[in-house]
Amino acid sequence: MTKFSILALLGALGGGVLLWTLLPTAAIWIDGPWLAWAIAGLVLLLTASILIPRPTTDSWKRAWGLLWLAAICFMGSYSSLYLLHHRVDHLASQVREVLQDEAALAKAKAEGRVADIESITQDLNTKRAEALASYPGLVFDERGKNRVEASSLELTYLEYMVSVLFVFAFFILAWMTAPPVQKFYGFTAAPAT
Amino acid sequence: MIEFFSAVLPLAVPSSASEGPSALESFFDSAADIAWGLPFILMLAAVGLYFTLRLGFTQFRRMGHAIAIGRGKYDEPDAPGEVTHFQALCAALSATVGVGNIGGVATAIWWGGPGAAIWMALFGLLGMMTKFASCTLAIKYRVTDEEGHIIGGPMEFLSRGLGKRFAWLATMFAVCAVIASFGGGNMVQANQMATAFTHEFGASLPSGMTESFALVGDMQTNSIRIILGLVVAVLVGLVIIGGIKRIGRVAGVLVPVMAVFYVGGALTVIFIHIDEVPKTLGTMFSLAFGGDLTRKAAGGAVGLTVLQALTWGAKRAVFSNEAGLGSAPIAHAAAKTHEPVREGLIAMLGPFIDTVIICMMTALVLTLTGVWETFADGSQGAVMTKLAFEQGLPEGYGWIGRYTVAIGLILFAISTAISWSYYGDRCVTYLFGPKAVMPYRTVYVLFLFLGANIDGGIVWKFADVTNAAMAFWNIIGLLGLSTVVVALYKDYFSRPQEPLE
Repeated sequence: MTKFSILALLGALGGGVLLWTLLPTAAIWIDGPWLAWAIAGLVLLLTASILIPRPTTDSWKRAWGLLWLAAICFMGSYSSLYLLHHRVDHLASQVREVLQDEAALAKAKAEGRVADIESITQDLNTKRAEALASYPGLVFDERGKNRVEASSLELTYLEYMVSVLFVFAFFILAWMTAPPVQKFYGFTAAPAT
Repeated sequence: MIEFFSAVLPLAVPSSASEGPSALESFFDSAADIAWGLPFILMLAAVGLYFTLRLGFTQFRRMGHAIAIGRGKYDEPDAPGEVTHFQALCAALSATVGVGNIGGVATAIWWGGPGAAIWMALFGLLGMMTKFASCTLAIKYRVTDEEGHIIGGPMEFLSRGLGKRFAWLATMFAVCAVIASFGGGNMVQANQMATAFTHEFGASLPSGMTESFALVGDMQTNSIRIILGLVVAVLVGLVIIGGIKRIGRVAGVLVPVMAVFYVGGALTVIFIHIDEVPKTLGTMFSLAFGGDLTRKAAGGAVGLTVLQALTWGAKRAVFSNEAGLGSAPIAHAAAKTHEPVREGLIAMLGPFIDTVIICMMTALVLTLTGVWETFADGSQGAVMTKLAFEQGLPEGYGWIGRYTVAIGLILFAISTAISWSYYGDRCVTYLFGPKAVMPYRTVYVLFLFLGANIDGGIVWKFADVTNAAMAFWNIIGLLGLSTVVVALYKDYFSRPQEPLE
């Protein structure tokens, strides 16, 4: 069962290194419980990798339980990132709308359309207030827009990372149910293959 | 009668658009999105890739043999089982070929660009191996119930293959499948069908007919939905009462007819634009693997990246072909055969037909007509596809395209409801024994009627979550028994396979 142990160890260490590398830099809103979930998952995966090589039914049970918990933690981390991503994407569309309105306002001013200027300004102020209520530090220019979009991309990478870790944990726990593996750990009622 | 139903049912459409979703609805909305999210998609893709590598790209090397099995050259009429290989394939296909092939593809392309279609096809190819493994195991571990009917699928291979210690996984799978059968397999299908029908044909019904049902407000639509609900409930009830034998016979006719009907419509549009096909295919491939593009969409210019193409293509492929969910093995378990691998091989044609052929046709129509770029709302996938079929035909003939999609939606929905009843039926038998089948079928038919008439909201979202949950239990069985699949495969191909016909 060394291969499962090595896999779990590789998953935990590789995940840790990736997490370190991918830690957000553009960072709008990339906070929240996702990191705690991910770290808990990595620790559980690491602990499971230590238990897996011991050929006793008790270590199988403990390792299997830990792998389930690790998978749940990675799913929790993904859920948290997913919800954050929704908020960031909404913010990105709000910024795009503000920038569009600003362009329309400039055009209306240049063409001297007084009625349009009034309605667009009103609309623009409402949208700006809504976006600022979501994220107070927001700047409505190209740099601000790029920052929000970069955050969205970082979130995507993080989502991929915790998803891969989930698959890792889940695959190992699934492989550990195989009848020959059950026999290795000393389960007497394992079915014949 | 109509007055009675109108009085007791919160009819047809969401009660009030202005109210917005409740906290519970939002919770289940997010829960369903997360359950069908990236971890789920990557898990299914990884399983497909794992079996592809372990069995040496069987989906390409053994395609000819699989087709020969489908053509009946290896049928064993005296073998244990209830339906032929082809009927089992059709029963499984009738569940998977559905709204995902029409609306799901459009959504994927709108959000991920035309490159998403290529990823869909690639994930369809991986899904072929997941289906091969699960259907091979379904035959290997199937049993016969007290009434002489076959029960097979993940609930059997989890409990009998992995051992009694894991019987709880089988129970979890069966419970999830029963709940899911009432959601995505039943009420959602009935609702989609009723919506497609009222949208397309509601106004063209004879006025005398609609007036006689007119009660209050928008009662024309409501009356049509009530009648449709009754008609579909009776039709589906008549089929499912006959068990897998009748389901197999009906699906054996319905699936080829609807596939030819829909694919024929798509091919017509493609042939009209044949000059642009090579260029369009080139664009699809380049967008899938390289170039990013920007599309003017609602809310401004939105960049579409390779990552988006991959994510959306993968999501919609899994949604469409159901490979890894563990549903199709329940139908394939009923095939008359002594050879588990033979059923696995024909089962792997399912994702190929569903995702690689039918979904690609839809994708080509959407891209050739350019509708994916001009359409404003990506969530209205079926409407987008309908528009693409309409615009793809010469002026004056657009209505044919529109009706093709509408009729396709109706047929796909009915066939899906028929097959999902069997999945629930077998899981109910596994949980409670054969006596529970008739009550289950009765409730199933009742829910079909309700589905055509009410907006299920939370119930549908909950069923979505359980639908995804089926895959988690199934995958444990597939990976735990992967050595059994490999052993069966090697044994089968170590013997000469001569046609039995």
